[in-house]
Amino acid sequence: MLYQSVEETNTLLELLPLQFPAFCERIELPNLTAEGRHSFALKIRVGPEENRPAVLFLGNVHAEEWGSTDILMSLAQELLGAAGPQNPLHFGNFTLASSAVADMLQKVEIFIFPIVNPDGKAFSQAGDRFWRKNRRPAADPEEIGVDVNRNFDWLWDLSRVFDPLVLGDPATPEGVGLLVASEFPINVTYHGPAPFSEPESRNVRHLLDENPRIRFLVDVHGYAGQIMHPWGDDDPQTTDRFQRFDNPLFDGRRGIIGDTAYGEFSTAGDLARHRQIVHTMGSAVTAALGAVYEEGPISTTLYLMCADTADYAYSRHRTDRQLPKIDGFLLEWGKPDDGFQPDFPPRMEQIIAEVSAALTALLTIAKDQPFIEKSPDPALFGRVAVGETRAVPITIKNASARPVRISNMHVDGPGYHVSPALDTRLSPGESVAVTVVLAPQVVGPARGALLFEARFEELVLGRGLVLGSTADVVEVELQGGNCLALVSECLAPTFPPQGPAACATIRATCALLIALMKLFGGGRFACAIAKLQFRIDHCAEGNGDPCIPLVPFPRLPNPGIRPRPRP
Amino acid sequence: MLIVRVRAPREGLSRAIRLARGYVVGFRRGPDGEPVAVDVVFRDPAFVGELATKEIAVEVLYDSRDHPDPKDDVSKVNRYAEELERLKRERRGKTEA
Repeated sequence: MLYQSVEETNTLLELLPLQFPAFCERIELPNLTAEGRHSFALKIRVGPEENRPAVLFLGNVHAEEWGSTDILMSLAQELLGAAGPQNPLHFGNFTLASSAVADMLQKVEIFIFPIVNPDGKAFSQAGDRFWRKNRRPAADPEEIGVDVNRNFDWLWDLSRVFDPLVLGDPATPEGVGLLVASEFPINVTYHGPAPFSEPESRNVRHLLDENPRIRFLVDVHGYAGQIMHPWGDDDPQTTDRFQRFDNPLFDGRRGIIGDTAYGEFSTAGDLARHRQIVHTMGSAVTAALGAVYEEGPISTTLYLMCADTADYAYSRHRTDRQLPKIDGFLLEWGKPDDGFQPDFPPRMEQIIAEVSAALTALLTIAKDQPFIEKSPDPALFGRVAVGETRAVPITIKNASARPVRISNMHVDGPGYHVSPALDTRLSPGESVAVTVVLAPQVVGPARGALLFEARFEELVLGRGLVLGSTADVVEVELQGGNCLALVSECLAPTFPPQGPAACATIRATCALLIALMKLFGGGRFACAIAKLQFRIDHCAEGNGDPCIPLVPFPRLPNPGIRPRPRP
Repeated sequence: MLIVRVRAPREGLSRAIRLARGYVVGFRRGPDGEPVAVDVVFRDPAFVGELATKEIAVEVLYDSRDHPDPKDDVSKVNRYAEELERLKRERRGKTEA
């Protein structure tokens, strides 16, 4: 066995749909690389049902990690080989019985994008075996390329969002922080001139945008022997919803592991799910050939990072509540003494087996991922004084092709109550309504969530009630409260969500007012400007939280932290 | 090319990462959360000598000179081209028929 070249992989991506026309098709991605290469992905679907969850596997985001492609193409061939004759799958000592394989393939759609960075890979295989970046041109040959896995639009602007201590000595632009990402083209972690400046990252985004049924993403890298979940920028935490990557109030504080100043928010349910999924994949690795991969969040298992695929994928539904939640994972195959290109036989073959087991284990989880639509999300309560109540009805719909059990419904957040707290079964397409009431007991923000579990539940002839293997934790964001603004405080306005046409008008009007205020008023209108900017930024989803403090213009430096000089 | 593990206080790690232009493949923290070790890729073995001091411990994890050139492990012949052409011909034949 040998590593596939870029050309060979592209040939195989063209061949497999011809060999298995009923089960797979090749997708051509829209963005050509800097060197004019086309990129391709494979979609595998067995059976007629279109309404099913999907998984996206990425390979060779980094050029030198050749084996990621071989892992994914080997997996593709194994899955397709098992589909028609309904064979079992064997990866080392990991086995999935033929009935389980057939069941899995009928219920999940699989996207495989085996070479995200073909320019970089071709260059690595032809010459510089440790090349990592793509081949974005530069006048200085030392500055060619961008780290594609630092080019996604999630905390891309590292010098703004991270604590200066993380980024190293403020007196120099380099330091420990280089491993997070870099603003300088000479470094291997250079994040590019802008988020999504690179065709390679845009191609990944295209797949996510065009396939809203993708609910899981695994980015396959080498080599460290780790399986990781979000987040990459700090410790994950489940108690403070306000500590989020998109909250500018925490700019300059992210990245200090173990402190209390900042942790990246996930719901408790999601964090527990992520740990469970990572552990299931890790167990499959061990079952295959005995290897033990480390498990944990990206930030503390590998190292801090930003603008990467897995975190970007998981962040999308927080940035835009209308987008589906995608659980993103980072898998680093191998072990610390493997190097980027282990000898193919035997070492890379062993790695192919153990990672194939892990990815297959994820597919058995993914097939049971229900689609739940909830509206409105976020639910906006606005300003509700102590002694008052406000109710918002929320509709929950089973958008899956199978019946779903809704259970363990509760609210998380001060002053909120839900009625009824459902435990019910929804048929495909069926909706149900609940009412969430906000009755604040104290002055202050009331940020919270309506949470419940959703799990497939089917009555199967001869088997009785069959539950899905994994429950999803569904969240509806709740925004409301009441605040007494201090004299020096500037709080965000509350307003309902608006459609695209109204937002275009609102944004244009607000932008004009901001320009006039800056021209004629400067600092006097700092709060008004911040409020108008908030309206621009949140026009589509609205805001029901009256207690969000805004950063006034001009921005004041955080006392006690030296500003970082620009080169 | 070398992959080396560097154990040092923060400044030493910073120097190693700077020399490697950010090419980090592993990172270790101590119980207090402070970074204590980092695995970096050096294109130039001379950097190892440049780094080593009494505060900075360097351990070579991987030396490309001790391994066969992996380019020998890359397929030089497109193993799937012939089968692809055969299936395309077959398809064309069916279409024309």
